[in-house]
Amino acid sequence: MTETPATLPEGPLLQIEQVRKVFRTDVFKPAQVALAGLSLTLRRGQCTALLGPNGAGKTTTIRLILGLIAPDSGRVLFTGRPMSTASKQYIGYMPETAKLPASLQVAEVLRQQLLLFAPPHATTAKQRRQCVEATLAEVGLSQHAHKRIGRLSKGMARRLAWAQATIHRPQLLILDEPASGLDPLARRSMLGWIQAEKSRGTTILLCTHEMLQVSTLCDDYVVLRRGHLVASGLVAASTGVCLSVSGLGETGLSRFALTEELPPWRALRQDGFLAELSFVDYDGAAMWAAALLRKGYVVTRFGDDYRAIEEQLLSYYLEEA
Amino acid sequence: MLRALGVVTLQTFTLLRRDRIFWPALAAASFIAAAAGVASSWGTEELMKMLYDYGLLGFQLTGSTVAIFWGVKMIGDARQDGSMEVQLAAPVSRGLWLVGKYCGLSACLVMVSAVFIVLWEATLFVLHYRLMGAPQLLVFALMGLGWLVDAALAVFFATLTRPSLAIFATFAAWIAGLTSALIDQAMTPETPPQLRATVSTIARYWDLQQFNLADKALEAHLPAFAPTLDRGLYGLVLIAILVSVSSVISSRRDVLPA
Repeated sequence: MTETPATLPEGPLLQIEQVRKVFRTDVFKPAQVALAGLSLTLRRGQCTALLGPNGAGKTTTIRLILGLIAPDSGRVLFTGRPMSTASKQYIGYMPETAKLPASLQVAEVLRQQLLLFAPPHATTAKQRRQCVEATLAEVGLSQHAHKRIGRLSKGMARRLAWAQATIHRPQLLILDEPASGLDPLARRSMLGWIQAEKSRGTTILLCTHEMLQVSTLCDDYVVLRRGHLVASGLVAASTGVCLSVSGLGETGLSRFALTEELPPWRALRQDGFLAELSFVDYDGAAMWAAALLRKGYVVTRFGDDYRAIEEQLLSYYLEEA
Repeated sequence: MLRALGVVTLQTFTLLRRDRIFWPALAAASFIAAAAGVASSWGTEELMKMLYDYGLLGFQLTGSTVAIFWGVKMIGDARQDGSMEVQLAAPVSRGLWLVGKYCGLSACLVMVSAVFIVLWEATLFVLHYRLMGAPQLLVFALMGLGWLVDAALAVFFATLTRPSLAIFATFAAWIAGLTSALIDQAMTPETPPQLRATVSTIARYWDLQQFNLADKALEAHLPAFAPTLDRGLYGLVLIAILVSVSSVISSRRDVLPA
């Protein structure tokens, strides 16, 4: 899957403008505001994390983009034009759970997907067959091509969902909890596939609760809460690198920074004997780690720090709970 | 557009063919054919008439029941298992998706009726009766058209409401359609005029007995052309109206629950 997709007009790939959606499920219950004037832009070739507690409006946003539900007001634009049935040709969608008919066979689903999307790389029956075979091999389902979907394990079903979302080489990929329910190995494969798709230039909207996915895959993030966009920004600006060291408190660390002429930290968290320092970039953290190790301190952790986003999210989750 | 319609139709046909109701439906068809044969051999006179009366009643009831269940189930299942969400994420409009579902269902019903007709011929052959000619095939064809109308009715209600309510509403409308003309004919001059007018209006536009030519099953000649054509057109118009309205409703309202 390395071919360049069909060319689309320049500019943002997807824009959601002041979209409002209210659900009225029961005449005796008050209407539920799912989205309250949401505006969102997906930049071309970027991976955007769609975050927020359950019930925040993430699924509604996805369904609006896909045209499964219509907004009460506002509009969804794809390459500057109102989203239409034809626009969906450029979109791939992987739902959170296996949402494929249980009695269909694995290869059948992919073949039908190619027929529906009619991508330029699979116009003839032979090309379609080859494409299905290649995709099944890529996701490790070649042995199960004729198995019914209802008999697949959860991991296999997720791999099939990935295959059906990407087989037509979409330009916008909407992923709803792509790694949920996967074992660590399968999770790693899934993240690798998403990374590869991103490298290919695909714009990705990733709906997730996992900060590791946000920090490793996403360029920017938006946080929804009760239908409102409450936070957004670049992942790089909100994450950084952190290291944990034991045996030094805040005063000791300040003195250490002065004597060793080390750059300032962005944030410091103290938990008993363990201090966690957060830095904007890798260089600052690396200088600190080297100096600490030289002086014989034990550095227990060195890695990505996405607590700024995570703590913000957790506060929303706690409020919802 | 036609390609998308074809894919949805094919997928629906495949799903229904693999549905658990499919084999019981075929088993029921076989049973009706066999039981009709047995019943006719017990009779002392008009064996053929008994065979056809019994068989056509079974054909009508089984087919309509299966059509209604499938019509409601295929929409309800797609909504419940979420496959509708994935299919409509593809470049398929909601209206076209619904038409494709109906076409797939119709194809499956035509296949079931074809199997039944083959079984029926086999029954006639085994019992050494005269095999079916054009008049008998026409009777079956019109009844098959009745199945397709029932299926369109089921799809209509399944689009409007949840499966349990849709089943109830479809059966109610089906029974109303089967009995409307009979009730209309049974009304006496003492019946209040407003009631008579209402029942007559319903019977004029919603009369599913139009597809039941069981009383002509033993005739040697084809029924008159014009009335038969009228019946056929009536069925096609009903299907067109029900499917079109369902398609428009489906296009205009949210297809997934909140």
